[in-house]
Amino acid sequence: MQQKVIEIIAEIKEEPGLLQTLNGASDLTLDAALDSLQIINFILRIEDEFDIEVDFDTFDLEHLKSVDRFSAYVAGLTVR
Amino acid sequence: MNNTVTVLCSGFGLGFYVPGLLIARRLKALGIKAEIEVFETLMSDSKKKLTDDSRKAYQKNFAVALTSQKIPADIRSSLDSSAVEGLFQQWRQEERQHFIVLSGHWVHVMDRYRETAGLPMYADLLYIDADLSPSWKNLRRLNPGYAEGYHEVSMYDPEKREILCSIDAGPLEALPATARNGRLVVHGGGWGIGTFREKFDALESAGYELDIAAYSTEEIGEAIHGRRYYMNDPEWPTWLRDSSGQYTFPPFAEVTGNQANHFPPCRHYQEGMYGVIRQASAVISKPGGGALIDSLASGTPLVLLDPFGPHEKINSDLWVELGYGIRYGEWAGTGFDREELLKLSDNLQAARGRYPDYAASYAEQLSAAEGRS
Repeated sequence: MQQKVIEIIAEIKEEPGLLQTLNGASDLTLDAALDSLQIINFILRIEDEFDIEVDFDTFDLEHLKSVDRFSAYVAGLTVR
Repeated sequence: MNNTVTVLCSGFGLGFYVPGLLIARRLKALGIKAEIEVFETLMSDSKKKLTDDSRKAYQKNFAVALTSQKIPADIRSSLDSSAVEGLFQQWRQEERQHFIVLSGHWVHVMDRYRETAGLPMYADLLYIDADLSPSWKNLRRLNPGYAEGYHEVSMYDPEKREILCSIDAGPLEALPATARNGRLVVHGGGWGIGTFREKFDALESAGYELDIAAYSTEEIGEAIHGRRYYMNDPEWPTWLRDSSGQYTFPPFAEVTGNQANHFPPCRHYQEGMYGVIRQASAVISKPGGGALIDSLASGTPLVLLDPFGPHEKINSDLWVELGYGIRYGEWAGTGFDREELLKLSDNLQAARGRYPDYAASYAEQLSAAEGRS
């Protein structure tokens, strides 16, 4: 999942170079530099890709602190 | 002591801006000095640009708009500290004490002002939706006890199916159904979001003529008999004062797609879309807080489209339960029956004067407090 998340970030940012520079520890807002609008588009893509639904009550900004934390959050939704 | 009331608006949606202007105008008419501040003036230019970009993205894609509400945000990171300090200096100098807050974003600022103002502060937190909208939800997430020391005022009690107060939209009386033009206003709130554009053909096929809110010239197609387009100046930002230093209603005009459009200033609310709404048989729109205020003030029924988030869902349910609105699907099921709209219109007419005007109640309380001091 980590790789897929990074691929979607690179796609949203339109920066293929991110495939090489991002890793599990990368912060989505600092290292990947997703702005608020890009985060929305990123979440939409993730929801499509993994057939999940993010919601305000479960999602936390902490989940954007690293690709790994975000992937764990998505994994938690997919097993429900 | 300074009894100026400072009304704190936000340009994130016109629903958090226009009601503030209406309240300030009503307070002034009641002899109380009122000033407006708009949250975006405290944001850096790059954050303001992002707000503008978001608006365009929300207009293009309702799913993007809906998804924006799923993601918690901390607006404090968007504040320009020098702009905040500049505002505090002015307020301290003028000894501002009375505030009406329409957006949860402002509470972060007010908390800081409260610490440094050096005098007692009185602020109403005015909820213009029937449930917490995103700015309040985000605030509650960051600070569950945010309302401590403030006075919370809800316009609606959805559990009791009640309207607790209203916002006066101007001196014009609501027109009875018989005096209206039979047309329908179709809009997507201040930002032009939602499913309203999908409904034009069905409504026209049912024999209605439409007054449509456009949000860019590009979306105005070929002229269609009976169809009119109106637009707020798309270049006008809520956070810009006019040449006399005042915040204004959006410059507004009827527009066409084949010539340059000119947007005169909108000095009175009825010179804008509200003037079109008050003559129409119904408004078709998402159930935003602003749409509810317009509906009640003008006595115009609401045909409710998909809500923009959970708080608008509760707005929608409330309007249906009160008999002031009907869900679009349900109305479509009646064959877009005019009689259904007439029933709703009668209910709204019967409710005239039933709900206390928020600004008038505020002014009364302020005067009473002055008398005591």
